[in-house]
Amino acid sequence: MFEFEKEFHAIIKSLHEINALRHLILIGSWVLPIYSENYRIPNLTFKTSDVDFTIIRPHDPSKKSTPSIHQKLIEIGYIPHRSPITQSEKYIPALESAKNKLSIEFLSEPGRIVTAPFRVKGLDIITTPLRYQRVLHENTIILIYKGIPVTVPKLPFWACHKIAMSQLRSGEQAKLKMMKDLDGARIIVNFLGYEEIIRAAQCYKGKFLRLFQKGWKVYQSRFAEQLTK
Amino acid sequence: MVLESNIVYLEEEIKNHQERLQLMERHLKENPAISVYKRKIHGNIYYYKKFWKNGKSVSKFFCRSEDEYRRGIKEILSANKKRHMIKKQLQETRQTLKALKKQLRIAKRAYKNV
Repeated sequence: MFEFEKEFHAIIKSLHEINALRHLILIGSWVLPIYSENYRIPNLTFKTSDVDFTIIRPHDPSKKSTPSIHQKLIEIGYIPHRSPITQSEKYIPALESAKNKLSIEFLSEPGRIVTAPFRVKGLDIITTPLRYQRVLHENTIILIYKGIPVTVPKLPFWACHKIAMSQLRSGEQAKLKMMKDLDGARIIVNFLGYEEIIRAAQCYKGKFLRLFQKGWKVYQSRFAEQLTK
Repeated sequence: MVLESNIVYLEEEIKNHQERLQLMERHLKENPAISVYKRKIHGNIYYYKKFWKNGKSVSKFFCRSEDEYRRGIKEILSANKKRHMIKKQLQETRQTLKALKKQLRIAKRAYKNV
């Protein structure tokens, strides 16, 4: 249905050209095409139009890209759009652009004080803090996507993070969104086997593990048939 | 892909398209198409910009020398071109939105019947 892979490749290529990819970890559903190029996992037939990146240590003064990510994204036909409610910023296709359809968002781990979106000076972008990003930051792997090295979370940690995050969904469509998260994780669970996902989740204690366990229960009831295979 | 994922994807797409549609409409409203005409008054040539605002045709002084006109007209033409492209995109976005809404209705119906 939504075939955005060409555009996704162009974004990755542009960010690689300005040496910005070394500061960014690709997260969200768009890691799946990268996984599927490196592992024998099936690719999704359609993906969300949101490309999410997370930034480790955004306050690090040595974090720089020349030219800035902001400038590069403007150059390739995206404009920043700030949400009036959450103040978070994402790059959407320029209004006159006919070829661009994806939007790009930058996330980071919230600090003790910093919980609202803030500007990362060296990269010239606004990042939105979101809980449990550190699970992804601490477990990364560099994979090659069409000749470009891209940092992504390790497969089991990406899947267990998805399962845990499914329990933090709120609002009207919480149940549907939860199922979408679990469905995304299912691809990796089926590929690696559930023992490895549970092992990855158990590397973390406290609330994250509890969220995972809660999500795992739902997962088991929803995809019971596939787990027994 | 489970049905729930399909519904969430479609809803997100609809939300994104609606946001984009609003931005386009606002841009078109704030940046009307401009034309430039010249007038000879008491032997002098003056250039005026003409555009529509709140349903009324408005004429505003633009410049009086041809050099200024040549410099300024490029900007106006590129703004008009951008506006034209946005208008085209607006139509496409409206059509896509309609198709997405239809797909969502079908997906929701299927979800209810499961």
